Amino acid sequence: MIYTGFNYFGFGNVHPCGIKDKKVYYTLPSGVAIHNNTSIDFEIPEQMNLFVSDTVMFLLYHEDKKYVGRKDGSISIYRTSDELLVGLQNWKAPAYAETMLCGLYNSSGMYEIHLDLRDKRTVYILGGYRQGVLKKPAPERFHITDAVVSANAFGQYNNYSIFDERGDPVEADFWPIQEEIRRRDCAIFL
Amino acid sequence: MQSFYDYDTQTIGPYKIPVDIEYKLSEQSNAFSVYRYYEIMNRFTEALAVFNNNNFCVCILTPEYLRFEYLTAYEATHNRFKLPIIKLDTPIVLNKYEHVGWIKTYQQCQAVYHWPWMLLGDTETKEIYDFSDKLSGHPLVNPPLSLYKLLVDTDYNAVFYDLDTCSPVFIK
Repeated sequence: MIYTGFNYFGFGNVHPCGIKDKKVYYTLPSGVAIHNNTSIDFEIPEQMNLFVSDTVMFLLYHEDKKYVGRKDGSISIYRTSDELLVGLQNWKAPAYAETMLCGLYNSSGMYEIHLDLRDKRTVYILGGYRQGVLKKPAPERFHITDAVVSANAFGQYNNYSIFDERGDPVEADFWPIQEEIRRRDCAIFL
Repeated sequence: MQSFYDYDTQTIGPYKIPVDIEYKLSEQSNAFSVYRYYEIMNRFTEALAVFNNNNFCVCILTPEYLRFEYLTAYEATHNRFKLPIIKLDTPIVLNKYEHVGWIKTYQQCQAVYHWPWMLLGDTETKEIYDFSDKLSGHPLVNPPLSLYKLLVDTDYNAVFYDLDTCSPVFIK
């Protein structure tokens, strides 16, 4: 798994993030801002830093210090010059990814498309290194059977199959995620 | 902190393990990454030490037992050989070490959370583990983390709090 600035359990792109008003914040592609409480009480400007980790969710640099926020809710603060541990803080890390299966993506193999339930617009392709935004707000339910049939029937690459409960296709804009993540050349935590 | 298991003296850090663990020379120097050791230490909260056993499994030392574990869940489910848990009847600490201070901590694995390293000292013999200096006065046992904050901006490597003089004592 590879994460940068802020990454949501390895789903989709990574986002620039910062700290303001005792909250870790970042913005989803749909424009919805996500805030998580933290004990850090000063502002850190929005930024994006590349790294690789299974446990780290955000990485921030401020003045001469590095802030590493992890899935377990811990924030360790290191001095950048010599990596000395200079402080421990915490934040309200999400316990799990709030997503649901909403369709399938066919690209030399079938990948699940997951809808982000926090904004109900952002969609992620698991393992496919792509993400997107629904053009309209998400329907009440999705028809996964139609997605399976569609993905199998056409058999063509880059076939996004998302259907609503009436069987109508749900349109979305898709794009690949950052190249550094796909190349996996931003490993600093292993 | 980083340490090594000595198969001859059966010691790791300030602990002596009363179980004979066989040593087999391996072609690979160390099959496990630093991250794995820290991850296991976090998973088994009662663990005092974790070390590589012949590049085959990891040994987890706790005050009451020595536990052998496969490194991954895949190995644990696909290996027929069940690894043992050995109950320890004898005390494993070499001296009467107590937590008397803090050591400057340069993280080797930032992917996992842990506290600053603890300074271990024997309040009777005044010996400090891994330091040539000796304790002075009456050191405060289990000192607060705020003492570590005092250490960060100094050139010293460790600190403890003397209750006689009511002041922190820094060690090089």
